[in-house]
Amino acid sequence: MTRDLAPQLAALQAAVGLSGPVLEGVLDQRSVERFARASGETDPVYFSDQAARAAGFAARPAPPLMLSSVLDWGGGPTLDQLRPDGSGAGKERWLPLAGLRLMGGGQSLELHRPALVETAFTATTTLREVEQKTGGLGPLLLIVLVTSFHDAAGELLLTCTETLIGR
Amino acid sequence: MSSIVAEPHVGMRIPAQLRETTSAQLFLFSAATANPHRIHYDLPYARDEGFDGVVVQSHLHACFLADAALQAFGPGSALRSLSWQNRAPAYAGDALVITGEVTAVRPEGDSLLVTISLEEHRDAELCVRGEATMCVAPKQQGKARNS
Repeated sequence: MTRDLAPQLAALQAAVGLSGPVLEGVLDQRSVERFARASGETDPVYFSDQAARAAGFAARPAPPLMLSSVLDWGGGPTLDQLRPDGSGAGKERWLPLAGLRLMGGGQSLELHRPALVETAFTATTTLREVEQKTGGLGPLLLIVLVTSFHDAAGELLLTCTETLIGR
Repeated sequence: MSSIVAEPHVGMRIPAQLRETTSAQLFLFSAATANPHRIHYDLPYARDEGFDGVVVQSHLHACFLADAALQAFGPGSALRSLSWQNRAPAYAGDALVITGEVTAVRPEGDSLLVTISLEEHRDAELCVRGEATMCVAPKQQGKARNS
């Protein structure tokens, strides 16, 4: 079935260049361990202060994919904030994505410095561009977001450029 | 943890890694990343979207790629950049094989910047293609990888 994505495209085009709210988070040890276990990590630096120090870290590091993978650093959405596909976490809640079915298309990460347990940070996401294409299942939107993560001192930790596919 | 087996050089293949995903892992990864998207845990909904199963998260694929690159060069290495594109969905229960080949090596101080082209396949199907750049310190393995 071919869908007309013109309304969604127009809404997103109107938001190109805009940034969502600045999200704040802290890398707590339990969250780091849960992410490491869920992703299958076995490196002891994620689970042991001693191993982290022996590897030269001042504290346990977060796995390098953690900052960009977590979609919500607060309490999460209320149930009525969830879209029909279940999306609606804090990182993307501000975007006009109603009527789209979303999936991740890929990312490009620049890791500027390790993020350690107890690091407080901010994350700001900007809608860089949106483009309509035709895929095997019909029209789709490629939605490009750029998120910058800074620590409390203002140092850049990570830059994440990602593509969401909206159908 | 594996340690570096040879000086990085262009054309060097990194050890292949096998990841056998489960619906429990996908559930735990969604929970750990506060990702409520239904395609990752709601099988009837995923099928309604045209998928053959609950879908492996894009970020979890990336964790597999990053881990394959990091494991290849041992404790003296750190990830500097990683990019990837999802080419085909993978599902809970799939066995995914991650392979890679070094495409560039250049010095950075006492260390090496090593670029690896990465692929993840389910059987013959390419699911993810990516590229990682690692900082590898062969003379300082096991030391000061956070410096």
